[in-house]
Amino acid sequence: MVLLIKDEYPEKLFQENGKRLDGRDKKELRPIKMEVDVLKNADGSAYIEWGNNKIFAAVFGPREVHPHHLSKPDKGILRVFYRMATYSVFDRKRPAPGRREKEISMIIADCLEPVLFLELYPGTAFEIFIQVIDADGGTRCASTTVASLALADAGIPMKSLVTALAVGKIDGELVVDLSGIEDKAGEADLPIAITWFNDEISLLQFDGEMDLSELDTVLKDAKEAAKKIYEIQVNTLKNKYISIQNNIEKEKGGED
Amino acid sequence: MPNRKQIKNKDIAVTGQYLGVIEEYISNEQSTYVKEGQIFATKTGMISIDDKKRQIEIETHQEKDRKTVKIGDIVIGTVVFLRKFSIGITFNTINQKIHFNSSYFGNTHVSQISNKYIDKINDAFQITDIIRAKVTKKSANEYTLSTVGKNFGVVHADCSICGTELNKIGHDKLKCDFCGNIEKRKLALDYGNVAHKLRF
Repeated sequence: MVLLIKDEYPEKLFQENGKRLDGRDKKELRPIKMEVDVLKNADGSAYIEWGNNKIFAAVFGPREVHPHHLSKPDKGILRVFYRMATYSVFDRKRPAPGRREKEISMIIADCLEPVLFLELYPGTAFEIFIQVIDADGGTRCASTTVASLALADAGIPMKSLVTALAVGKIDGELVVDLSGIEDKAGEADLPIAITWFNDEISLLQFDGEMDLSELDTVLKDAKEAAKKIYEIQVNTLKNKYISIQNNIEKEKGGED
Repeated sequence: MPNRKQIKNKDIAVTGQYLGVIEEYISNEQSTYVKEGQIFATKTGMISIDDKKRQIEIETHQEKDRKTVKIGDIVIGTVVFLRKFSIGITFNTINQKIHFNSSYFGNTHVSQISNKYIDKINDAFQITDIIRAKVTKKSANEYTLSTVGKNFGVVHADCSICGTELNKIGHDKLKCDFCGNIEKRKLALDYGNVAHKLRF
């Protein structure tokens, strides 16, 4: 028996009490949990749970470039491999990298490049492998956030961390952090990545319709929400070093 | 969005954190960067401040896994160019680990080969020699190396006539057992005893 499920979206994206379908306010983020140093063989790695999104990122580098002709004599290159697991979405996703994955890999590389000092590593490659285990809207933003965390965990010099999130418009209201249904059924979707060393936007995509005045307010909302995510990133990195410091002190105490 | 807070020695710094101004500290190029007179961290780790030299840097736990060259490193490399006054070397080891096809390249001037007088470069090195050297400077993408010292110099050499491995017969002489050829090199003390098999 063939099971057919139609792409049906709910008529209203807001509940009667003014909250969103998953019970959030307009400017409320989904629950975020981050971890670093989760994969043993990678130079640096990170894991994120952002609502229903579950994403791993691993960083290798600086290392040799294969094929060798891609290497540049004056600077290093950054390569990103964004892949989705076959079971990450409702319909089975074909495992071969498709058009969408190649494009998202490219935009993640483009928005992480300004914070790296690639000119310090001529002839080498930095490689980021992003594996989406579970997807529910905003995976490109979550991937950028977790990739920058993995780069920092690998000890690669960076100007600052990068934080990304999606804002948009659903049912005529401006909201922050769109989920999967809101992304598909909403009016506008606007992924943004922010680099903190000069508070500049390094990624801005736009899909849908929105006024210019609305764009201004939604960008302000995005920056405020991104600050909350940035604090989680910073605390995750700090906690790792606090545990390393505690371990060193324990070992010293044991020797005495 | 740097948080302008006073920092202390052995605090934890996060990537992108504000550390101070250039009037306060001398920044370390490996782990900090300067923008408009302000110093920011580029790595996550422990802050270490040298009070006498006023130098600031960030210590990370990844130091033993480092894959890039630092000034002061001791590297092993292969001689690939002999010029009139200098030689060119590609690095085989970085941070005491073997790197195949590494893209790092260094040069050594005649004056930096030995304390003794060297008439011609051919008296000290030949192409395909494997040498140990110290990194002294970085200029553009290439490094400047020095082989002054007892521990630095050739650690492996092949005969320039027949290609068999040479044996040490004096403090600066090598002999080929196969064809009897005698050559002159600037040798390291442990010539022929290097554990790494660098050529394959």
